[in-house]
Amino acid sequence: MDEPEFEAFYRATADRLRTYLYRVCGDRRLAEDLAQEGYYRFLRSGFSSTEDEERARYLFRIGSNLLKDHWAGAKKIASLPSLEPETASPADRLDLHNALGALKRPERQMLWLAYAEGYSHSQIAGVLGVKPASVRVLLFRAKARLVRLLQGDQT
Amino acid sequence: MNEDDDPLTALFAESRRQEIWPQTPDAPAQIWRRARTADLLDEEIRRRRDRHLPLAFGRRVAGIAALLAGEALLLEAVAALPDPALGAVGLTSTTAALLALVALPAVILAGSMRREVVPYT
Repeated sequence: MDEPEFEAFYRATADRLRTYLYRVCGDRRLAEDLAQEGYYRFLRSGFSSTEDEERARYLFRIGSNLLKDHWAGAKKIASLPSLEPETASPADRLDLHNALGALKRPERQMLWLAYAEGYSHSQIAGVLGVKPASVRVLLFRAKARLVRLLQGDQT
Repeated sequence: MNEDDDPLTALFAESRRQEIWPQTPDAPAQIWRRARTADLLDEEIRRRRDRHLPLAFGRRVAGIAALLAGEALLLEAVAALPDPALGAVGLTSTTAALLALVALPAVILAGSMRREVVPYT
């Protein structure tokens, strides 16, 4: 990958990656930092695929691992911090953001990858480093919980 | 995913679309330079290590040769001792030879350990 190619890849994926990281960790600054580190590690990894979506999935995998490392180091609490005032906007977004915040981290990751990124079970498994069969079960439960939360059921 | 997931997919898509991030035009170039700098550093470290590899190998071979020579000398010295002299300290010639073989590596090991331990003062 040469520099112009990397720049184009960055422009095409940066917002997707940052939003994914933010929706999972709930901290915009951390999401920014992890995204920068993710691109750096992506370049250093020498990942050789020429297909952009494959590269993007690899990038998401790096991002997911960075999140895992961060949590392992910081031992942060599982819930998302409250929304920053400047990000507060449409009600549906707030609802989704808050509802995601009430879920466990792996559930947030799976739901985002499945419904925002449109990844298949095996692709999610590849990104998160788990078995596809586990993804199917966990995603089903996560979706059920999210739907309940969006409908106002806090249990 | 099935048709039931359509509203959820739309909700996530909307959520993603509405998330605005500051655009940093020079960010990819900075990341690129950082990665390339790290690559160059790694390459330089590898090159230096490769350059010193024959030297390190030579040192190791010389060390082994010196050890073997020292062992041979010690064995020769032990062999030159008369049997009554060894018998006086309760050693057979075989035991003395084995002790001589072990002594030199033990002394070298003790010496290198002393060098590695920083004295506490």
